[in-house]
Amino acid sequence: MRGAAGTKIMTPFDYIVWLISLPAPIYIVARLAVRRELFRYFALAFYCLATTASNIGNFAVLKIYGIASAPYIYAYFYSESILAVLLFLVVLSMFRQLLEDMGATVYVRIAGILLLAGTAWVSFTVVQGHRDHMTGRFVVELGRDLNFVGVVLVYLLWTAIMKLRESRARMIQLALALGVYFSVYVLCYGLRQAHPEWAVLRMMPALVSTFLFYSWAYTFTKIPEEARLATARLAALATR
Amino acid sequence: MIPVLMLLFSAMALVQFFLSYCRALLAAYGNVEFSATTREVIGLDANQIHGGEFDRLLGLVRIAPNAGDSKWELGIVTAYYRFLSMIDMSVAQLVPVAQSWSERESTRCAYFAAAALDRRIAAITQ
Repeated sequence: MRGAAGTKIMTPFDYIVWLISLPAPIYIVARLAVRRELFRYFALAFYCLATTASNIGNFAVLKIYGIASAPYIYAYFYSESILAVLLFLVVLSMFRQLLEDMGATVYVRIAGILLLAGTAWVSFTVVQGHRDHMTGRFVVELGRDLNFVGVVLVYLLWTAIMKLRESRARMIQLALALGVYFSVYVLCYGLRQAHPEWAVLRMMPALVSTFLFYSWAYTFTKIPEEARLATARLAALATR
Repeated sequence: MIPVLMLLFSAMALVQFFLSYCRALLAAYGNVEFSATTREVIGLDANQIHGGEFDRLLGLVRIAPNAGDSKWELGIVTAYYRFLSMIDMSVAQLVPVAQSWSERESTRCAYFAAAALDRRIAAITQ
């Protein structure tokens, strides 16, 4: 039900996007299970399952309390924040895959623990500071900040992929789709605060979330694990 | 101030991620050799394909029997081509480097469309 929060009524668009967004994460998990790749992409599969649970849960809250209700708004934005943290784990698992040949996975684990501890501490501090006025604006800012950390993390991952000349096509496409997702989310959050009347900004999170899952589904379906790409050709302004 | 910097960084990152994502999709088709049937249908050799042919080639792909295998890629590459067209009509008018870059990328999009057509033709001729 992403993207619906903040509107007064459920539009046909919201229903359509909700229905379209449901099968892709389930398909990804099923495909990984059938191909015995579930363990390799455990964080990603877990995120897919959590998103499905969140979508169904939020829909139930919406049906019980209504779309403009406080319970729905909080369920929507807080589940989104939790999902953003779960996506950090997906990025970290990609870092682990990227650096495992260098024997640097222990550093990734340490960095991951520090990142999660730091995120938890900052979130806790912010929540403590706002506990008397847990407003809609606050939850939106929290979501924006978490997603911005995601942008930075994926940017670091992408930089590492380029520097290390990582050529695994799957990892490259999974990471880039994630980068597009986080970037659009932060842009939507930011622009929504400045222009709450722009309806398109309410639709974009739902659309980009759907994009992420369909992009991942495409990658797992079409790109075999052993496929390789020349990273030098992927730089945004590469001349080759 | 900080929210504005976050927005700017995210906008810059979005452009970079989106361009690289599209280039990753296109990269797999850069060296495809077309069958004689495809060359006949499109009326061009591989080295004659250029960006301006994209819409015509896409039209041919759409009327070809659908193998159901490239909808996602076609959608993304079409979005990329539209983005390049916007660059071509705006920034590229002022910056020659941007013009040659957008032309080169448009050509890759057109080549991709021809490759998609080639795959569909191969599916029915086999």
